[in-house]
Amino acid sequence: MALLLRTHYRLARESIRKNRTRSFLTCLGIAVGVASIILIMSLMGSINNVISAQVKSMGADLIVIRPAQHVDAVESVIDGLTASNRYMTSNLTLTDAEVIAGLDSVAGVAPIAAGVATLRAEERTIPTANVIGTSTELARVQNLKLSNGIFLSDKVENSAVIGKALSLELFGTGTEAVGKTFAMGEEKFIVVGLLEETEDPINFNNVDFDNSVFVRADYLKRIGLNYQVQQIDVRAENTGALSKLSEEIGDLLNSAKNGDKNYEILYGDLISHPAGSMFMVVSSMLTVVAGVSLIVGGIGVMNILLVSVAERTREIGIRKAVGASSMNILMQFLFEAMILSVGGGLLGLILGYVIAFLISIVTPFAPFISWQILGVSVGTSVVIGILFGMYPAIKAARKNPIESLRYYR
Amino acid sequence: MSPQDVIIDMKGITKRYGFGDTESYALRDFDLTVKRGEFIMIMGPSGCGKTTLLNIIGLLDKPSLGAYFLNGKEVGRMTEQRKAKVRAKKIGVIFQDFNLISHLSVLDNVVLPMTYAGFTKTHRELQADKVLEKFHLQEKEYYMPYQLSGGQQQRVAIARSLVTNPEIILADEPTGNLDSRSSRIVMEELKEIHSEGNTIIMVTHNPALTVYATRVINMLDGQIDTDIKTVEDDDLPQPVKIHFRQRNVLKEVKEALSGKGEEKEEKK
Repeated sequence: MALLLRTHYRLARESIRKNRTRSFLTCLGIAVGVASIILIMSLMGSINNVISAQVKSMGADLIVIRPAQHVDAVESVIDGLTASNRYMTSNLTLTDAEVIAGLDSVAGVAPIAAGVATLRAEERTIPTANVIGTSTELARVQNLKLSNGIFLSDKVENSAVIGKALSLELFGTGTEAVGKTFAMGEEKFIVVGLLEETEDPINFNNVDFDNSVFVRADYLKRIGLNYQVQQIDVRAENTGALSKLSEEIGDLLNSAKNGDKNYEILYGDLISHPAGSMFMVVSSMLTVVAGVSLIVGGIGVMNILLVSVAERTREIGIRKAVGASSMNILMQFLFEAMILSVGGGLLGLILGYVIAFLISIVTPFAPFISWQILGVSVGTSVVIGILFGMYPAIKAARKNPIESLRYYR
Repeated sequence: MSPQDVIIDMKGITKRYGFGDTESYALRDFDLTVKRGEFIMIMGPSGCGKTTLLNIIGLLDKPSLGAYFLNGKEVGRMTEQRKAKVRAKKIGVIFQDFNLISHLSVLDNVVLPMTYAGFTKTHRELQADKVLEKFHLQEKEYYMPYQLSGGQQQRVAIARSLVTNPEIILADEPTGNLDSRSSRIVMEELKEIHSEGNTIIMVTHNPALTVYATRVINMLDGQIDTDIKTVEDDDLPQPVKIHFRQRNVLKEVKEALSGKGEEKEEKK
């Protein structure tokens, strides 16, 4: 049997070599599909890596509370596409953050209450700027660096911290924003700190630090802004107390919300898991598109194989006459399909990583290679080969030898 | 005649095409017994069922009715897989239009049946080499079929049919596409193969070729019209096949002795 398999492999390779251009184009169809899957998976992997590296660098003493939706996956994808801001549904409040801050063994709490407001400076107005209501703790939790000033102050009334890009837009300066004032709602704010440009546009807080202005959370209420608490970061006093502390927080929130469990409490590696983030939605959509292109590639394989079977009707007749069984013929063509699709898969693997590498030059993503991704791509192409090679192979195997021998092209 | 001398035994073979008004018979209640070492020529007008008969003997076609015993085993009970194995090992086929696979070299074409019979690659190529040498085609091993003349192609096809050392060789008008000179060479080759004890069943339209045969069957409308034996059964060539594999000499001597013993008994 092993002998025959080797023969089938040799025959298939010969037949593919005979029609180089045709086979290459067929491979390309599969390659595009596999490449896009590789690309998406590698980028997703790199996003995960970036975030888990952040979590690691902050130390392992962090607990994150996020609003959660207990809905099934499809529904959440649709939600993600239709809702402009999925945190609109958050039922966390600033009061929760205050209550948690009162717990023992909590070293610090940083709520992230996000809203949108109009900022007016002397010369310029920004109609929609991201406003984050938080506490001084955020700078520690996210490891934020300031190029000037301090991260908020309880002593200075109406203090604010501004991201570099936003500062450039509002004040026209990326260096000397500290001390300048701007108006938000009815209140005047004074900039006490200017953030350094961040290298992490992707972060577990889901905040665009360069393009936001940060104020103390209680000011948001005062200026009457519409905001949502999209996350509460809690720093524990010691690492060992994490699970106990998360239970305590759970109990606390449970009683505060009368058992309405619309939030999740995460710590350790779970924080980096971007479940529920927009990335997940986008990447699952892209995967679906890539899957479609794989199916199209598979149809290409099937098409070429059907042509091949028709062209070689007489050969099939001869082979059967000299002793090939239907199984032999089936395997011969199935091998051909497999070689085409696995070849395409390998080509796609290389193509996908080359593209991922090119993307990494201009973005902070680093191409991420894992055995899972290699396995998925090779596995998918084998499955595609068998799936789409089966019909032509069966068709070839079922040919009547007598009629096939009479066939002239 | 001992039972193991009978290689093909067909009883009441009928092949019917179509139903109702379009019903027609390629073979009608056809009986045939072939002994080892016979060289049978089947003649007859077009459409008398010659090729259908060859296809049924060669296990490529199934009869609508009747029983066919090949080497004492009923073919109707064999699975398709088994039939393919039998085709690869026991039956060699030669066609009018050679039917070599055009994109395979001479050597690869000859090796083909051995591949499906399950021989190792080394064994296959050694054997193919020997057979090609026998047909003086050794230096053409790596030629492609289109680089050969018709006569040479047919000799390659004959080599292919012989490579697994089959018990029966079926030839469907092997000289039909050849000029008279090539025809003669091919027929001489077949004659030589026959003299080595192979059973050959050949369909032809050319009455001049019947001089090579030990038995001539004329067919008409799917039945035997005349059946003439030109050589006595006992004078058929001894079934000593061309052996490429190493033989168990002792076992064969024993078999030969016991075989002779049986024949003598029957004569008495």
